[in-house]
Amino acid sequence: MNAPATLPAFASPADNPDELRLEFSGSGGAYFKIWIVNLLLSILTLGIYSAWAKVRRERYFLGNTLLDGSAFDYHADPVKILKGRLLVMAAIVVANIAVEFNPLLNLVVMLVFAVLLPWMISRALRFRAHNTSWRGLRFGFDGLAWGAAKAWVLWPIAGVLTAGLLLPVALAKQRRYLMNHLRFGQAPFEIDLPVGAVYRVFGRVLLLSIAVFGLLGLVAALLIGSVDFFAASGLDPSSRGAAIGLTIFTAVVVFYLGLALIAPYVSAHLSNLTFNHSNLGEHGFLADLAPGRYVFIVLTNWLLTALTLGLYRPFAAVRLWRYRVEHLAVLPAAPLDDFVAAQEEEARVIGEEAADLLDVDLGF
Amino acid sequence: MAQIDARLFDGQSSRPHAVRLCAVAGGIDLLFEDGSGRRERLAPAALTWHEPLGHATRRVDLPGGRHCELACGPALSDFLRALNHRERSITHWQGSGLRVLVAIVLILAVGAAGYRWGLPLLARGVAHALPTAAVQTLDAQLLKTLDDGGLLEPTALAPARIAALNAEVAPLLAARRSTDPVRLHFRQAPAFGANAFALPGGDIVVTDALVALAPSDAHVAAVVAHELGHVAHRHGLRNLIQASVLAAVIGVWTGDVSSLATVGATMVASAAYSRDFEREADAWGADLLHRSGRSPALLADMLERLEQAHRPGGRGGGLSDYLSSHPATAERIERLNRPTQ
Repeated sequence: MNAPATLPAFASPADNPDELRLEFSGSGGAYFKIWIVNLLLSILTLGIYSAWAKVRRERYFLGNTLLDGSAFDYHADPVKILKGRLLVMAAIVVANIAVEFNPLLNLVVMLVFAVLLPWMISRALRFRAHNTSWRGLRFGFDGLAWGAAKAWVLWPIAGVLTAGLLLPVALAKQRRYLMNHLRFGQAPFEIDLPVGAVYRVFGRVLLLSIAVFGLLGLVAALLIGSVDFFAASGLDPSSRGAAIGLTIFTAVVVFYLGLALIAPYVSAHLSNLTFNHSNLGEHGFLADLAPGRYVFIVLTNWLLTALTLGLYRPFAAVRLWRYRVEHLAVLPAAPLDDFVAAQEEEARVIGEEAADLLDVDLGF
Repeated sequence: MAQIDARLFDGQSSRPHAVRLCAVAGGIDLLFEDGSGRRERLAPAALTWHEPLGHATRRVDLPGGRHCELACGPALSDFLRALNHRERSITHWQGSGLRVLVAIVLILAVGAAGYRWGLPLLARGVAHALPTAAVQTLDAQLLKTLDDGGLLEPTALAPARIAALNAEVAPLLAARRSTDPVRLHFRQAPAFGANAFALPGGDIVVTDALVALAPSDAHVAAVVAHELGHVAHRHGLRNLIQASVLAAVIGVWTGDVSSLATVGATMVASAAYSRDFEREADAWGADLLHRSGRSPALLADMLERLEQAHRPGGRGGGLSDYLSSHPATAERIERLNRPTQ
């Protein structure tokens, strides 16, 4: 944590390193203090402060993420975030009440949501990119709603209709959309992600999940078997209902556990694939997340957060972010001095807040 | 003279410029260290220091869309002291362990007060503000869902028996101080055992098993009086509102919306509320019985029978949620048998 008193020398074109690893200088303890003060003020202001809290959170994470000795920064206007949050909250409340009184409206709400989702995704990405900077230059994102609609609605529907066969294609399309519309200053990010690589990830997931689900299923069967045994031996006649309840409960737990293992595993692999097939102008990237380790971090974060009734959350967030950041590097073709600012345009906030509430993984 | 090395970025390109900031009388001197000897005098007010959220670098904005990046450390502290720079109060709050502790205690206090008083008050206000017609639509939906889902089946009671029960309940309905409509439904419900429950909008469901358990129709009417208490206080609606808010808060706090942990925690947190509701409904029901010239002991007697029926190994069985969310039955029976003034 001891930062050097002076910054490293600048004019050193001779020793252009092969790779510039991103660093993270934050700590769970320091973020805990920010988090708890954010939380208190958000509660005391009935949630209004949460927009300011979000800006402070983003600034903590980006401000402690260093590339070549320079920190990233976050510039969003909290008032815009607040407006977006209020709008989305109002929409969710209205939709929920409508559904409560007439289930038919459920279908309407879902349709409206399916139409709005791509727009919100593209807005969210744009807002986030435009408000992130490094060395005084802003990132930018110019993807349109139609592209997001194809990647997040149409291709996933095709994936479901083909019993999951086209799901890897959908994920590849999403990654392409994320990267191909992103730029830093005037320099565009580009990705050349072969679909075959994503299919290989899912092949591995299939083999692994057969093993994991098989094991969990076996344990569950043994558990239920023992209950059934007692029921059959007439010790307690009313425990047959309990046995059925336990079966359903175990099935749900197994399902959640399986998802909890698969989702971070796929996420780690996809992150690696995405960055390793991307470039920014002439510069390349290297991502080397170990999927097993990544799954371990996600699961132990869950466990510790539950055991501490939520107090571990800030530590968990720092731990995961640090792992992601420290396993990402830029492969510079030259010193990172020649990026030029683009003409800025205002980004709107609504979509970003919707994504925040609905927990869409923006994957960056 | 305090001074510090920094990197300057002009906002137009990512190329860093080596500079030195010197605190001098009347401002800050910006010294370009590219050999040109260029020097710029800045007023302290022209500098915007970003909050010190990072451990490694600190950012200060300069006029003209430029900014400097400075390394955190003793040199920066000395420099800021020389400038008489004051950090914002939120920075102090985050830096001090004691104040963070105060924040934790405050959050716990506000959370506990909101849970104990705030949320029930809010739910009561909202529940009584909603129009009766809207709530009745909700009731019709709920009852239809229960009927279609097979949880409730048509009653096996003879029409004459149902008419007798309705006649027994009618004086109670008349003795209420409200004209809100109440509809009594009889259903067979193996999953609920001997039970009765009130829906938010005034629909009361009594199971055949409860009628069978009651020694007389007056006993059934006593249970209905208790359920009328739930209706009068709009407990169903208040429960719905409280559970929704709790689920939202717990979901946001734990970070997982609509998952197992949230549902479980919400059920545990709601249990305390429903115990309060039962006490309220008991008191209301006892008062109603009293006013229509009947004894609250009828309700106490039914509570005792219900508890026995739902005890493990006893007859009834099934989902005994009637009692699990109710306060200690002995205490309630004692309260009901107490002579009223």
